[in-house]
Amino acid sequence: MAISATLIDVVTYPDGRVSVRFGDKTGMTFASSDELLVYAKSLEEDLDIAKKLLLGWWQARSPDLSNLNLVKGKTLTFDISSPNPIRVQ
Amino acid sequence: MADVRFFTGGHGHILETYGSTVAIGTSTLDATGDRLAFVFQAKEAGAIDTLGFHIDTITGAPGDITIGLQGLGTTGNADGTWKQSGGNNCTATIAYGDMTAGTFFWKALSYSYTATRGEWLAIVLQIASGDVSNLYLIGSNCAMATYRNGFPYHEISSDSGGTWTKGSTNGPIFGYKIGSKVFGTPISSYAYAAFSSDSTYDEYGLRFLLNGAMGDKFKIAGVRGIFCSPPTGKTIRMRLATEDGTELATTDIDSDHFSTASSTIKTCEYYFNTETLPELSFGTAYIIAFEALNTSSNWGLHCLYMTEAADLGAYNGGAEFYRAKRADHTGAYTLTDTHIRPCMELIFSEWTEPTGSGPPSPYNIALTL
Repeated sequence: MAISATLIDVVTYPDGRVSVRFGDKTGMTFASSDELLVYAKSLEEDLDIAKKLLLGWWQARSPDLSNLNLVKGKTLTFDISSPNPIRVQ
Repeated sequence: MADVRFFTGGHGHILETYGSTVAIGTSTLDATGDRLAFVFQAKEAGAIDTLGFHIDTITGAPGDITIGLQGLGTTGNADGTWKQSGGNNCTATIAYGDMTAGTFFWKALSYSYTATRGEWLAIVLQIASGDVSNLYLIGSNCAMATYRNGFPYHEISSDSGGTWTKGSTNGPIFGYKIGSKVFGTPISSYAYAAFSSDSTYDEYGLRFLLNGAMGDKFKIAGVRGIFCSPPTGKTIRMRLATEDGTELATTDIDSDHFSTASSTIKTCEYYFNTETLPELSFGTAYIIAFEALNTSSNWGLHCLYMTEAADLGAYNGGAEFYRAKRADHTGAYTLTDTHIRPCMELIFSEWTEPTGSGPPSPYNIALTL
């Protein structure tokens, strides 16, 4: 299972709005570049994301979640600023 | 007496926050035959004569948009067949120059469609031509209101006859009119104005009036709304008042009573802590507002902005619910923001039946015990 997003373009308009477009024809338009910055930093508020990724990591390797030994005691670290943002050890 | 928790006095649905920021979600129409649809049910029977959508961005000179109504296929997608009236398609044509980017745009249909109550329909936008330099970004959904949307929803299809992809995360932005009645979720923009005690206006809130036929007396226990939180160590005063500024009740809120300080978007529910709640009258306008008592409070009230005040008819409370503000927390409230709807809902404590004969107007009221 893989999820991905492709950034097509970021455009700033004279009225200050900033539009971000992705490869699947979706996008988001922010009222200002400050709002985009807040959104980009919002991962810091989502404390559940590491937990979700770890459970997803487990499910990908044990589709019916039957093999607990695969994941018990494992730590998933999600560091977006790292060259390897996701590590499980 | 049962608490009246959720009140729907008009049409549309409550927006709740899940996401972490304020943004309009867009769908790109940049190729011949690209289609965007909003799948919904007609809330009541009548002649749908106007359709609306949020036009976010226009780049270059894309081809005309054909907008109209279609039914749904077995997969819940627009079925590709324009609804008709007397053999004529219930559609309209929009040139890119007809629209102003960053607004909610209404277009009258060439022929109205008489919908039945609860009919399953799709508002469909289809472009004649486009490419990477000539395109539309339609503001199809509220990235702020990400309540894991089930229905209604938007969907997009690429390149004439491609498969549809439904949007399942964010609430859709769309609208339709039956005469003067407005339905859907028409949003021109949404924003929060962060304010402090030394701002031009140090108090913002909701002005509301409940129709006199709905009841005799009521009491407000509190409000639920979408706010931006201040830093720690600040105080926000929640106030119930009349339009002329007469204070009826207040409760101070410590900014530490917030799960995340200095946050941009959180749903909060606050109650008055006065021993006795004031008795209010139907047919009279009131204000529930929040005053920043400190500098650098940056308390913010999220609001929906409409193209025109009448568009508020799509939302709970209708056009009688709009933003109020006041400078220096004294005197009458400023009531010029009639096209702006704070993301606030009332929490009632009591509601007494109307005096005299006859039932109230057919409003929908949900009670919780």
